Amino acid sequence: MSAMKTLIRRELWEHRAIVLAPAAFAALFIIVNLLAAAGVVKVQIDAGDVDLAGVVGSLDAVKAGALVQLGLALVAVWLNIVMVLVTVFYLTDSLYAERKDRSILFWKSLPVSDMTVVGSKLLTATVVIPAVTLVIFVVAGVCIYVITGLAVKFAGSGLVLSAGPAALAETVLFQLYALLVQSLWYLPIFGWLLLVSAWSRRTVLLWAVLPPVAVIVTERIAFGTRHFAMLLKERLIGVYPLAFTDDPARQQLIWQYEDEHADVNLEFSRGLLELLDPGRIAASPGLWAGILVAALFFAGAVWMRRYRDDS
Amino acid sequence: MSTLVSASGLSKSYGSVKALDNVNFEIQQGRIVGLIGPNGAGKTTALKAVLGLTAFDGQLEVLGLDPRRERHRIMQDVCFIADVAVLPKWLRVRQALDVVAGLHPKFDRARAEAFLARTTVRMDSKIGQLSKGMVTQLHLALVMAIEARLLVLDEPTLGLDIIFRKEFYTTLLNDYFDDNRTILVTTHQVEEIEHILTDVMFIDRGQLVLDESMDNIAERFVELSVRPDRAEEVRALGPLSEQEMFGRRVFLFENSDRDRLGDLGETRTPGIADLFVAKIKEHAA
Repeated sequence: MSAMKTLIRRELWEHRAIVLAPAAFAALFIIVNLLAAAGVVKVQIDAGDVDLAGVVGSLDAVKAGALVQLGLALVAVWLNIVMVLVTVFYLTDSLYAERKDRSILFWKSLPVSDMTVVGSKLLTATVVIPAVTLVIFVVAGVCIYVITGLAVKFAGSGLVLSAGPAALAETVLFQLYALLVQSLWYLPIFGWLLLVSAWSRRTVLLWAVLPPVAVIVTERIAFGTRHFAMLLKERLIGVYPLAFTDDPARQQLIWQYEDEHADVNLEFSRGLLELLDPGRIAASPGLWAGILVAALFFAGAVWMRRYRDDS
Repeated sequence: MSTLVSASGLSKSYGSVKALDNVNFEIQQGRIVGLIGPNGAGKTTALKAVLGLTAFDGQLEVLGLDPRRERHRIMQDVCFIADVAVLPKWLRVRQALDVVAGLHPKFDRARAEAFLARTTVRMDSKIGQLSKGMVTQLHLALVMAIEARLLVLDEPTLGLDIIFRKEFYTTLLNDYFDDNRTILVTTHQVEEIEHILTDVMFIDRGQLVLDESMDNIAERFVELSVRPDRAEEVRALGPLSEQEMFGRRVFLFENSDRDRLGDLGETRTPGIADLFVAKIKEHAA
């Protein structure tokens, strides 16, 4: 266990973008939020003729919660995009860099099996990177909540401050779930990137992309079909339809409030978690087939690292 | 005395090139073995096989284990410095100690720190900022702090200036080597390690051409230096090699009667470098 801890610390030392990239993005959002809040306060102080109190006055607890979640959703989506990019670059580099800078002989002089080492890289991609992203999201979320809450309070309503914590907590749970299913669903892609990273002598990313493209083109020419392309598309973007409910009634709960205002007694923020559908994705054959394929790629990457002989 | 490494029928090909061709050898505990050969002779391949870094044919046991499958177990008791430049440049010295401490159960961190304190290597430096000599000192500090049974060195002093080179072997002998330790070393600079070796193995084009202890070498090989007018007479005795030096003829003999040669001129035990050249030439013929 201590070996795995050391190996993961090593990954964080070597690939500092894992922390720095999402942190930089979060900082950007916080700064923008701060400027907006300063704007609200300034308007309130300077311009007496703008009826901010009127706008704020139409706020109720549900709307205030929705406001917080809407802002956080934007941050979450962007952090997610950054995280996916970081993960892709991390994985393509993970077993290639040590061969390129020839430090692999040092790493191999330590009594750690190739399976443990490759495992530490997969664990970093599936657990550590999402965990880092989630922590940064929580920190950014708290900052944004406090800044927005205080600004709206200054404008005359304490509703954001009081509705915020529950809204924030639910958004974090939502994000946690999204990251979890995402990691599981993308396992075969992660495994593939590890394999190419262990195998490739240069331009890892190109080698990661070329074979699937070749398969698609060959299939198209030979059989005139697009099965592999559809399979790949499903793998790339199919996780969200599977992980979240397709039940219109449950989906409606969220938006209904906006349309009808008064009739829904369910609170907006509880509606967010109504969207999660873990049973459906757990029952989908695609998830388990993907995990199986990932295991094969992983074994291939371990084998490659054991005998890849670059000299 | 126990056998640490035993190879029989060890072979490895890269395409049509035979890097190792049916090699047999054993390495005993407490020895310092020099593996010497020209470039591309198979030295590094042999070391890689011992360390479980490459696939091979034939039998090879290191500490009773198969390096192909159990590299990570073997590395508990085997250390190696392959080349001075292999420590990751992005790592800080302190982090390097953290890494080895976290991954190697037989690493004594205090010992490594004590050794580093005697050098100019600073804990906060990035390895990429250290000079080549300092990287070697760091690597040596890491390795010497591990209670290993076999130390493998592949051209450890390549590219270092003479002060670091000398210090490297001095430190190794004084602070590291004892009866429980075994060292297997390859180098181009034979003269540099000649006096510390207990055994030598010559390798050429994938084959072992000599595998002998230094004691036996003194018995088996004789260097005879004679005046040029006696050269013809000596040639008739079938020397291994011949060269001219300071106006005298110098011959190398294998398994010859030392006393009889002594009557012809001056005899002495040949240097490893001369012996090496002679054996490689003989093998090429």
